[in-house]
Amino acid sequence: MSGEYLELISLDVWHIVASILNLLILTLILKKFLFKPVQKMLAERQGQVDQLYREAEDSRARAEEDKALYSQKLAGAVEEAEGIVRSASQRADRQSDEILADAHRRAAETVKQAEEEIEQAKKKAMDELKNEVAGISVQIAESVVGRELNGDDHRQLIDSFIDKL
Amino acid sequence: MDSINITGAKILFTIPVFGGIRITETQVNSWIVILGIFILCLILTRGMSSRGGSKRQVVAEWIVEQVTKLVKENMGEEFLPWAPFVCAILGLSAFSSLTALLGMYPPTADLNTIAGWSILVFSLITFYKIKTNGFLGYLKGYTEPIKIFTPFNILSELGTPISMTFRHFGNVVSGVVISTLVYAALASLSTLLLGWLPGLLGKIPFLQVGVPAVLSIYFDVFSSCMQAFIFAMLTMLYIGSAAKSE
Repeated sequence: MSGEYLELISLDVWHIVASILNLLILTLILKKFLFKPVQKMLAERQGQVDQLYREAEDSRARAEEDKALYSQKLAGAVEEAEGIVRSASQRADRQSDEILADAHRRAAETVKQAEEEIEQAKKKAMDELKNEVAGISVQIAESVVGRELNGDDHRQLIDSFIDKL
Repeated sequence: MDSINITGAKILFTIPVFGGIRITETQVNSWIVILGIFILCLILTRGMSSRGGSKRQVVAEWIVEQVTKLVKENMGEEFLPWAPFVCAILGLSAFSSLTALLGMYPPTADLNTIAGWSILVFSLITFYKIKTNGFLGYLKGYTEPIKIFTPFNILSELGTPISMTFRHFGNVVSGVVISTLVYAALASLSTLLLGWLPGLLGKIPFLQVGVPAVLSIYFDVFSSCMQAFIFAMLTMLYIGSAAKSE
């Protein structure tokens, strides 16, 4: 066998040392150039994923909050509308009552006035009638008596006569 | 017929210090493998972003995640810092064996390479045993269950790195030996069967085409990955159980 080759099974301390060093060196290379960068990237990714989840949770919580707020507001609005309708109908009722009362009052007034007027007209007519009757009575009496009666003198008499009619 | 030589690594040159350090194909090829893995790391992790994207990044993530998972399952959560070491064993072993595909001398076919790894792993096993049980507890572990077992315990302890070494070495070397034998046999067979062909045609070993490729798929590809995985698994299990033992 040529001296250029090692035996198939041979041990050499330096070769063993070199092999150990090679393995250690490769360990360091893999640690520094493969594991560290990949683990750093994975941690970064994990961080981003966590952040996304956190943001999603936040958004959902905010949405829930908004929803609660809106439904609350909606309920308030419905109540308010009901209130408006109620107060409007109350006002309308009140107004119609007022209008009715007013109309009743005015009608009564008119009736009263009319009655008064009638009364007055009646009284007036009565007075006129009285005077006329008195006049006529005097004339009749003059013609009957044949002399002129002093109206003033007999006025009282006549009046009393008329009143007795 | 050519004589068949099955040898170790070729000695390229000798550094004349400490009584001569021989630099062989094993060393050079190991460095090539390490450099290759280094460049692969750089390529895979280049332009990596947390938003994902490139296929290279997917591969890088896959490697890291698989090895991390392996370490977590076999050694436990507290051993996660060992993931790069396990990955180094896997990568160095597999790629060293796979250099055979490029016609290079696989560094894993050199006993020294595997012996180095096994010694390192054995040191770690011992370190963790002492760390877990204390030095006295570690020594006491050899006398259990009864004192008479001490020699056997020592043997079995030493057997761990030796068996790890020879399992891996034996598998790779057997591949090399069988490949060489088959190759030589095919050459002879080719000469025997087709030697009558005129001129140069008779000297071309046609039968060497194809058949070694099939063998190569088993010995170089499958066996390489298998042995790398086995060695890494044993490393994890031994160190993991060393740290857990009472």
